[in-house]
Amino acid sequence: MMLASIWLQREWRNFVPAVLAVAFSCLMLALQAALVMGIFGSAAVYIHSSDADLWVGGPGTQSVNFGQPIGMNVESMLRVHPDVQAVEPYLWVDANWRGAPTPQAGAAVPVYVSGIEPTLQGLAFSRLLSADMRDRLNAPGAVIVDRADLEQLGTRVGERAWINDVAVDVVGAVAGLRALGGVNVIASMTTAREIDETDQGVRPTYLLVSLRVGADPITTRDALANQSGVGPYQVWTAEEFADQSERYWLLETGAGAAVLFMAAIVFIVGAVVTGQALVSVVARASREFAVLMALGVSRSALCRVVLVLAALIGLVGIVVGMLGTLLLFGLATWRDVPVGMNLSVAAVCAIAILGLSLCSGLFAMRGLVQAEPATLLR
Amino acid sequence: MQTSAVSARRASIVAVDIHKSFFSGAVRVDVLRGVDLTIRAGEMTLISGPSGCGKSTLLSVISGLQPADRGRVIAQDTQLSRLTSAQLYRFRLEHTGFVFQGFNLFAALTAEEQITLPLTYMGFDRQRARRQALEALADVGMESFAHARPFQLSGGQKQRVAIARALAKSPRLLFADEPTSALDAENGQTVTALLTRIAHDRGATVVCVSHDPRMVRHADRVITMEDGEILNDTLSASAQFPRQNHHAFNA
Repeated sequence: MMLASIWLQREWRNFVPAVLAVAFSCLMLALQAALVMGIFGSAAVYIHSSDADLWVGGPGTQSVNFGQPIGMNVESMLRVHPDVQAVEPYLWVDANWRGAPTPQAGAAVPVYVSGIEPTLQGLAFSRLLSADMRDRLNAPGAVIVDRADLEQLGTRVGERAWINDVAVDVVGAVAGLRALGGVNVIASMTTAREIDETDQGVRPTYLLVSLRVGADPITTRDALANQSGVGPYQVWTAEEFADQSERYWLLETGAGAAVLFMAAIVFIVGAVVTGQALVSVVARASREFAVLMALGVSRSALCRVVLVLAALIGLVGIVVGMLGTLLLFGLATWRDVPVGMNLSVAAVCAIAILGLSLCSGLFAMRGLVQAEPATLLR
Repeated sequence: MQTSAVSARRASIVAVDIHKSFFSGAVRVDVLRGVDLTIRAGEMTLISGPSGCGKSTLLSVISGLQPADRGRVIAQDTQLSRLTSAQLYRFRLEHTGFVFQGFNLFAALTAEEQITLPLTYMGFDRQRARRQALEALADVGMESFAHARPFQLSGGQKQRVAIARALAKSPRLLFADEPTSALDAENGQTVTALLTRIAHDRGATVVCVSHDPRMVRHADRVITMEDGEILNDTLSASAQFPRQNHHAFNA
């Protein structure tokens, strides 16, 4: 420990390439994780930005965007449970947007229309829409989109557009509505029903449920499940449904495998580059190590010095890499690129990078091969 | 040739019928050809001879840095060939010190840290290691350079730190390979005197390989080698008639 830490402090210039290699690997891994969390987390933006405790939808729904109409009598069943405080319908409509001057002009952009109750106490998108924005949705044909999607939709706030040949007015633009797979549009339930070309009529896609204070979502979910005589449905806690939607996109689409593959590449390349940078420093000190071996310090003890050195380089590299990641997060947020991170994912990234550093330390032990005390005798 | 006084000194290294060969391509080179040697504690023994005569190989074999092909080395009553690798490291850690021609000091460490580092592997706590390091630096007249790093020291000063590093653990066996060859006359003289004093005042076994004539003058015993064999084994007058009173080490 003593040799490794002093060496790193006083000869830090020699270790800059290794630290930068670790920092860059850390940056790459953290950014990948952040983009995955941001992009795939957006698959559940509807859930994350709403205040519902439970979501009720068609049985076997794999992801929130695959919702199917559920029976009207499910709502009545939910309302009689003593722990249920409010129930709110949510209509999902797959549609086409045209921002050109006429309904038929220009290319259509596929959009996901979310029909919600725009009341002040509404649960859907309660974390995203201000009271003023919700109020604006009460106007006939009013819609709200993400500000970053305005360009793709070929429109601006205050302009008219068409969804499924229904005239809509863009009454507002918000941040944080971007999602995977298509452009999100929020409308009132009335507007969404006008846009809907299917025959689902007044049947909602989901029912959002809020529970009384103190009620346990899992217990209530279990109590509400398997009620007979109300048609097929399934109840999820908000957290379960969000996880399920994100996992679907991550695992079922093959995107997750690509991400893991990239992470493995970052790990291997990072370990080799860091190890190469470290091995040259260790090899340069091989004669000094050889003297220690002549004096009786075992090769395994010196291998531990190299490992501690690699771990310290890893820790410094993680700090530098995380600082760089924070900077890029700021840039991404400014450009409305969806990124996400939480403590546990950051910890996993840090542990992976520490593992990478230790692997590079194992690699750098090659530098000790040249440390042979008998060669010091001329 | 040996006097009774010399015979009374304890044999600390006994090498019997030592053979060592190397291959240079397909050609086998016999570097040591049946060397028999007894080295006593309290003497500064100098192994001398022309380049390629096998003196450095002999030093590496009797110090346990590499094994002999044939024959046996008994150092401090331990037969080295019977030790496992881990035991050999332990033996060297407890009993031997080395001084090499290149000073081989870690660029990042101060003089004091160069010395405390091996001591920590002996299990010394930080305070004790530091105390012994400062004592060793004082022994070689370098106490005022305890916080200096190698780039702040001259060649002679670096070699004295290297000697202090070898001395700090109070080894019974001290091996030095061409310790003065990279030094000027004054520093060479200082280092030679230091090594002689370590043998006389501490009763350590000091074995040097050198063809520096300054060392020949100070050595208690000069072993001359040629073609892998001992050609001559001479005791100096001081070794034949050892002093009755040892000098204080720092005198």
